[in-house]
Amino acid sequence: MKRIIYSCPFIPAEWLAAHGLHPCRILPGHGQGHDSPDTLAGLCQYARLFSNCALRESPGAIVFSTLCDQMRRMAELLGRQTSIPIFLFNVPSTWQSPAARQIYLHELVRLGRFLVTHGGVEPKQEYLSEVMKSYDRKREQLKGLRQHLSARQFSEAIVNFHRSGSIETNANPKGIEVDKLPVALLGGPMFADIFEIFDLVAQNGGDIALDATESGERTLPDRFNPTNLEDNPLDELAHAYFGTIPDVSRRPNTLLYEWLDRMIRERGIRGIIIRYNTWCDLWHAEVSRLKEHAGLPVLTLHTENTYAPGERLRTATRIEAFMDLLK
Amino acid sequence: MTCKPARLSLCQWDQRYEELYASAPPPYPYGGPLCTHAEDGDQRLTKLLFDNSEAALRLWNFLLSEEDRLQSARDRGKKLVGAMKDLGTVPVMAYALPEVVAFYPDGAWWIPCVMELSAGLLSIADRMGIDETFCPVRAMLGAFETQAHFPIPDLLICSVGATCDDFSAIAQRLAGMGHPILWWEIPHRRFPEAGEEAVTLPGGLQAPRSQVEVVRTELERIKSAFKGLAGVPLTDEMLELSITKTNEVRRLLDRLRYYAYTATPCPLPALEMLIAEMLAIHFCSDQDECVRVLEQLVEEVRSRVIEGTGVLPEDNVRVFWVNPVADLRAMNLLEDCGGRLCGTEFLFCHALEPIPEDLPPMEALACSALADPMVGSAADRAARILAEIKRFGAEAVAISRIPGASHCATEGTIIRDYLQASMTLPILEIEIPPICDGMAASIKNRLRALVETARSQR
Repeated sequence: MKRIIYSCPFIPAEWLAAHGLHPCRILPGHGQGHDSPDTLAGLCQYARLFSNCALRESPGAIVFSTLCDQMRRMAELLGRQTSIPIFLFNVPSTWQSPAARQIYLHELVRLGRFLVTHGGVEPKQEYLSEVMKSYDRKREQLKGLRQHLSARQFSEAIVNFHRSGSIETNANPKGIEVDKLPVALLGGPMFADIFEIFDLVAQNGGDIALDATESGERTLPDRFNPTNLEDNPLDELAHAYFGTIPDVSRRPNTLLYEWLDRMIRERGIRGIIIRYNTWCDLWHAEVSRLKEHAGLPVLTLHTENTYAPGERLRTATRIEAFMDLLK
Repeated sequence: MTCKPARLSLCQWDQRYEELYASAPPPYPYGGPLCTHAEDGDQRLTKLLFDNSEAALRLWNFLLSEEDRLQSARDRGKKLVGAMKDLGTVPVMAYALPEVVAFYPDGAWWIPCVMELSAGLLSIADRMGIDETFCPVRAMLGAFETQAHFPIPDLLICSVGATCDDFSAIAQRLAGMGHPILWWEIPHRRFPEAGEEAVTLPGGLQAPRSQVEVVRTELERIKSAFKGLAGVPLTDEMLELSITKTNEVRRLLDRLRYYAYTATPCPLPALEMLIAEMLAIHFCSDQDECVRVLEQLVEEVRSRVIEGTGVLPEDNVRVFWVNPVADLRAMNLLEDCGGRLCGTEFLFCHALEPIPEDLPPMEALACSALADPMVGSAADRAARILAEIKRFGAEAVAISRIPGASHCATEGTIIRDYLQASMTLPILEIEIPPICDGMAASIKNRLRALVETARSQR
């Protein structure tokens, strides 16, 4: 089965799977070479590493989105350097107008045509509905794991689910944790090799009780409405993804703040770690406002490579100091 | 033409001003010697060289008096609209309403340069967490915070979607400061796919009909907001009239560009061309006066072309310039190094193209907005740049990077690769900070190298 590589949370895996293709939402890691495209001044490292990583996956196609300007432009840059089919999905920044929703729906249809051109099969409505139900069930199962897994295990389970479509439950259940300070990890996408942040927090008496990064639970869509799912599955798919995922890129980005407020209350969050990649303007610009809004201690991590020589120690020290502050 | 064309320093201009207007002031209300602006804080003027014509003086005075004009409009009860990011579309709608004046708060990105950082706008942005990794447009936050550079608009309208992340993030920060924003979507422009109806946009690009329709629908939301603001509906007839006036400005600029970029010797310096082209986006807050300013400038340049006179040596190398410069002085440096401007793409080339007058006005405006070089691919930009290079006969290309801008990381490479595949002109990519004095030696070295390379290819 051809794999379709992507990273944007607004691309519904169900839509790719319903076309008979393997949706594979990946997280790039460091140390995966610097083949292509070349390092350019001001280029977002995530965008570059995603491109490298995607090429190494021998994909049937790569789907980029317009969620941020760097990824939008990376699609063009990579498209000039590879023969692998590339699709650029236009995710509107606005979300409150009928026109924005219409653009998103239209893009889903256009993506469908692209997939058919590259080995996919146009799905019948009933089949799409079945695929959506299956994903909906799995996501609920996934969310249920949070009570049983460590914070790191849970976040990695989400990443694995995005990558494979299946849930790996062989992780050891976490023991009873008492007196752990619940903190939120907020920001853009993680890299595959920086999940040690979870361990560093745990070693210092904390627990990442909310993974609000782009690759965490923040970007899991809402459950589907069963009635709508039968009547008009594509419309329901658009609603669940475009209508409910809170993200910093949305204009206005009030959904993000509403969601965060709710989750902070529900999880009893005591502090926030905001992590973003250098040159990520969208998250970088939001840090000050998030600090003002949340009213909680905030630690900002904005490194190129959290585990590059020297960086690991620096990150560990900062997390240790932050956790001490929370205590 | 009143005297031999030349470039003058601020002091020289002041002397010339005394000679010209000893008996009567200039025949427009915002006239005065340029030194008054420098005394008011626009210190960068003391480091620049200016064209010596009365038309250029009027152009500078028109530009530097905009804040007074906006304040005067507010005092007279007019509604102020702050259009953001679209560079050339929303103001056409605003100026259709007699009681509305539009301007771009984005223009604050030049304040750190013009005031040589004395206004502290970048420091304010720093304090708000918007540091130097962002494009200099972050100065806009400082301008809103201090309320010292333009009146706070009654309505803020910002295009988002296929725009740079810097601006989108900064505008969201502005909204977080308590300035409500009407966001409208501009989709990433793409080439029509098989089976899709195609529309040819101003400038010759193509887009799917569905995208034009989306933008038209978004502009309808803005139209409704204008009705709420002005208290009167914005009719098609009013829009048609505004489009006609706008096209008059664009036609004048087209003529000016043709004279300035094709004639030898160069009849108007690069700096004045940059300022004149900028008038296209919102007419410097007065559409009618903008026409008069440009008419005088065109007439001056036409006279120089007829006389065969210019401001630079005849053999200066013809350079096409890509992207606006954060420091105006860079335009002077180009000429100091033996170059001359011969075509530009300052990210608002869609505002230089006439808006179609044979379409319903809202559809015509949608087409114009979609022709924005920022909303499409860098290859689209490159193709357009190539066409302009050929039109004006450029001998070299300078791509100036905007510090921190999200689009500059990749598009310079794509534009350079595209151009190199189609022509053999030397290309230079160079970063211009808001104040480039500290890097002037390095910038000049690189510009000289570009000029020498181009000369060697003659």
